[in-house]
Amino acid sequence: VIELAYFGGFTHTEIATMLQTPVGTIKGRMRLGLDKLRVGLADYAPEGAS
Amino acid sequence: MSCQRSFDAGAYVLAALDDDEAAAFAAHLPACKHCRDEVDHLRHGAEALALAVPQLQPPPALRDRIMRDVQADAALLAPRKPAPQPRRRWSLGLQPLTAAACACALVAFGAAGAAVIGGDDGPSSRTLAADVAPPGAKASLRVDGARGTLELAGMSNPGGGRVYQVWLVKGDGPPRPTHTLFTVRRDGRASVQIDAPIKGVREILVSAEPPRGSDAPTSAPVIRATPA
Repeated sequence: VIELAYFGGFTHTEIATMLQTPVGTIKGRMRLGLDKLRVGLADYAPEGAS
Repeated sequence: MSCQRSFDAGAYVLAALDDDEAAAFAAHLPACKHCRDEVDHLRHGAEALALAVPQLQPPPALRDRIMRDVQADAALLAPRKPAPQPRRRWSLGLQPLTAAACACALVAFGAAGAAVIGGDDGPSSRTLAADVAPPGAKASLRVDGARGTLELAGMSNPGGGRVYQVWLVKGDGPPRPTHTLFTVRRDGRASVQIDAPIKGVREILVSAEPPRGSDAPTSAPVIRATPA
């Protein structure tokens, strides 16, 4: 979902249509994915970034 | 306190909301601390995406080609209107394609300035010390004709998703924003070419600002340099 939005430039409604998934689920996955990325990358973040 | 609209924060950070939804969410943000926090929180993940693709060094000929086009466009556009504001998608998503388009816009701004000022600056290059607020950090300003480059060492990034922005002060006027936004490398160093002519500038300031930059400084300057 994140790849389609960020690299593909598709909106959440376009992605929902593409994946035949409710818009709410797409929004939730975007949020969850970004949060996982943040947590996963926290160890590599430059000093001072929260 | 939670807010139902914070559910849109992920899509907003990825610039994946429809235009009207994105505008409505952006208008909602100043009034809702919960959603602002959520956006700041998720933006860290989105910023990492920009580094997920291989970083390529463009061939030198590309720069020359772009600059030729830019200078031709700048000559046409400069007398009519000021440089356009960067688009929002750039600051939010750092998407590769819009990033490239925006980079051209930034170059256009610099070229327009150079076209206006042009001419009498010789190749003289000098380096001046600059005042730096963070302890242990060092900064100098290299002046090359009408161009200025800040060389920084021992700096840390501002954190909280913010970036550094360069400001120019002329006479007794207020600091004027430049399009020069930057972060420092992991080793604390940065070489920052200022995207505006510094001729006639009394002072160059650097402050921490939101990712899309500000129209007026929102924090105390961390660097002060005097080009004269």
